[in-house]
Amino acid sequence: MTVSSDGSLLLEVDGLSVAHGAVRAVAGVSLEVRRGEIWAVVGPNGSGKSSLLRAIAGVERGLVRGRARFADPARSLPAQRAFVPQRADVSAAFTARDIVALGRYAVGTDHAAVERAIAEVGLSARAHLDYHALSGGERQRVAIARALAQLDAGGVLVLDEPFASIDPAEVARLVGVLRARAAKGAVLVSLHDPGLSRALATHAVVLRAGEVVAQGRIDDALAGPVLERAYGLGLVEVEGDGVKWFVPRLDAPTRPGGADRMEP
Amino acid sequence: MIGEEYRAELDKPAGKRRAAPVQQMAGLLLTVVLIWLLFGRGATAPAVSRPDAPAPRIASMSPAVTDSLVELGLADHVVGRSGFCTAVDRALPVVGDLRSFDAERLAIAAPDVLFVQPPVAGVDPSLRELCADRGIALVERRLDGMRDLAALVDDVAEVFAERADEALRGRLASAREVLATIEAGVAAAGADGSGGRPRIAIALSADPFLFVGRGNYLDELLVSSGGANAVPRDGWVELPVESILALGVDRIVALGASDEAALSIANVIEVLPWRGAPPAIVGATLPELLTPSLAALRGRARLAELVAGEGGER
Amino acid sequence: MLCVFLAGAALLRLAIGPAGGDGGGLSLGFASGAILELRLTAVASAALLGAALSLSGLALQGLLRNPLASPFILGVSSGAGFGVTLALALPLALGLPAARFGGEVVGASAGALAAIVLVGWLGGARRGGDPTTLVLTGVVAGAILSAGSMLVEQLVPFGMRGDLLSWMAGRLPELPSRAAMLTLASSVAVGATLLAARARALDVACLSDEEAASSGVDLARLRFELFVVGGLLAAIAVAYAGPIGFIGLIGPHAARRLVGSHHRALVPASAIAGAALLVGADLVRQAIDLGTGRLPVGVVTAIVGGPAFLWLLRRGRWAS
Repeated sequence: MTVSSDGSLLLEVDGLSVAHGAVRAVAGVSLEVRRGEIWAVVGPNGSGKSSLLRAIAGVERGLVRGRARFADPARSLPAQRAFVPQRADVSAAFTARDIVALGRYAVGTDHAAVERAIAEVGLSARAHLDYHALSGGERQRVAIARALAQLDAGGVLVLDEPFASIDPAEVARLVGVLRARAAKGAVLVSLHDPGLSRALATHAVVLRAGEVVAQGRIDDALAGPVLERAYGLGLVEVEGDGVKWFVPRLDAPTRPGGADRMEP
Repeated sequence: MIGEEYRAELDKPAGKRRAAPVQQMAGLLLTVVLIWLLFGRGATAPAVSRPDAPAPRIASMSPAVTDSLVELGLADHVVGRSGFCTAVDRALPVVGDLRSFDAERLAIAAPDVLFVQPPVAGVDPSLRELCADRGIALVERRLDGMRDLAALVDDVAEVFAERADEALRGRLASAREVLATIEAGVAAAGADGSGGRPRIAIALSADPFLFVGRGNYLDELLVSSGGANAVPRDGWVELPVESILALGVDRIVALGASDEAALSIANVIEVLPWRGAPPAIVGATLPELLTPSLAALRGRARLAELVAGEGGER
Repeated sequence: MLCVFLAGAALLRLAIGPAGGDGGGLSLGFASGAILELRLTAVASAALLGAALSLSGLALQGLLRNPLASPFILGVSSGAGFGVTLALALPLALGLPAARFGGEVVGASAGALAAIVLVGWLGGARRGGDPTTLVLTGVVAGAILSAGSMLVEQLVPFGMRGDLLSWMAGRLPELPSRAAMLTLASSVAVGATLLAARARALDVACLSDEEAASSGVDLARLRFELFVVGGLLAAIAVAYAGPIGFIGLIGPHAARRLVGSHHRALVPASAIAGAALLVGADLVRQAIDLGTGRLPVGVVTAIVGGPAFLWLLRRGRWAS
């Protein structure tokens, strides 16, 4: 499915590079994200997906060059972008609702926005519970609700590997949440799985060792040959019930060049 | 602010959970009260401050001073002590020690005079203030040698002044006499050098090896008894075994508060790897010698015997 | 909140109560204004010190995102100990007159502050440094400073070592000077105000660093502020009272159990809980007379606080 894009520019990324000490994690990525788009950031482990997303969200601690510009410099940054890390962590005895409300730190208290975000992730009935009493999938949803609560209408939701450790039902629910967000603003999400990326996203950036292998509309960016270059592995495209998926060719020998490390 | 709006929501589910901490706090309070009832009252009861003590009422925060007061026959006058003062009634309130003091117990004990051995940094100014406020004469006397003990005798004489009876005057005079004799002995030894005198080391502990060095009351007692201190350094000296073997002593006196203590020190020193025959090692149970007080003067005769090589238990 | 306040007030009153029975059956005449004044001073200094230690613990727990942090992991007490040692030994070595009593407080403050600055600089606190680095730096700096104290102790005359050792036990100033009380009161007030002003940021900082940054909290600045507030409060408390353990740990925990994790309530509750705890500890040592003088308050807080902390740990409701 495709969410129609009305074309208004929400985020412009220009020559973004990230270095951790002497190691370059991301090399000169440029993107334009418009309203209604869901961008999948795809690539093997260590290809720089997380660093790229953190740098775009402005929470990267490494050395960042280039820039990510959000549409409206007049509005506060936290309202225009929110980041959901791969591993959330709460070191206090807060309820789910408390945590979602923390998202409003810089953008002003708004009870209704908090409740809306909780409802969007389907946690209204359990929001009064202690965070540490919730399941892994529910905690993930709390983290996303916190991010949603902080965004205004044109805000970009940035998620690092949100599908990493949740069951299929949670995956389906999460896909719904992300599409709903994209209808108002945009979503950037990093994914291991090219198949899920194609099912979810409208656009994709494929990274290998920090460099862009391909980017653009999903069907062009996530073509078989591109993925083979990115992963150094043959991928079979399977199709059924209107869904296309990629399955790795496990019996084929892996080709060199798909390594995690940056080539000089 | 978030808090205001959410407080109501938080309260609902948390209501049950919230009862627990209140109970816990109540429990804690109850425990404190119980501890107090069990230990506090029972233990507090014997802390008697003596309203009937004869004037001048004296408190002492130093065991050596307290021992000296008892030695002068003034135990009745003592209304407050330190936790280390064992020469007086243990039921007397503990008003402080070298470092800390108990303002309330001191106020309740209501002494006329307070003796302290000041730490190097001086007496806590707030103690000075408290004494001034409550009309307590504060006497600071650090006791290291015979001169300090003589000064303490003068302090006591001054505190009692006209109130001193015959007996006390007699004891003060004889203490002065003994102290003068000792100081004269020390001066004489300094004049004619240590030639011909037996070289003595006094051991106070064998773990670590702690010896009596120069310039303290025990050194003065030793020298005035006719010995020469074999330990060449000042103060209380911790010596490694090799240094002990190299002292070149004629005699080692192991000083202990009890027979066991003295004997065990002597036994350890005896089995050191002496080249040839070990020096004469004697254990001596002389607890009165272990604090720099007037009571130490009583041990002087016994120490002189040991120095001269008479008696002493191996 | 009210519960803690009540408990604190109850303890205050208790602190005055049993001490009245002190001095045995002849205490009838001693309910005078002067004795009451002594007790009030003692209670006030204990309360202020307790509040300072507890707030310091709260700040450092927020800084390190670890509820087990205490004011002393930054090497503050070792630094203060080293400062006292030097203050006592240096004049002696230089042939100057020995430091007066006040010299110890100066030495302790200087040592504690120096330790904080050193640990903060080496541990990268200004860059909003990584908590683990900061803790390790504090532990190692503490060990080095303790060794320094021991080295100096070896060099001072034997009779002086007792002075240094007794300092390390932690004690409540019996009759603190007006200046001491004012310093303590104003630093507690300033510290509490600063922490309260950053209460929401402290809440957000309980999330992961990335989430906190995403929500718009400047973590580097917040951590620097927490480091300064927590470190200074600990330094001041240590300078006046020596290292008194467990209050900085138990105070914020007791407060969390009573009012929850929101810092808006937690900041005042921690201050009150710390005050109540130290007044309580003072009460215990006031009420128990073993015939050898009162216990040092540091011993009471460790003996009562240690098991209390283990109990909290077992029933722990906080995140790992």
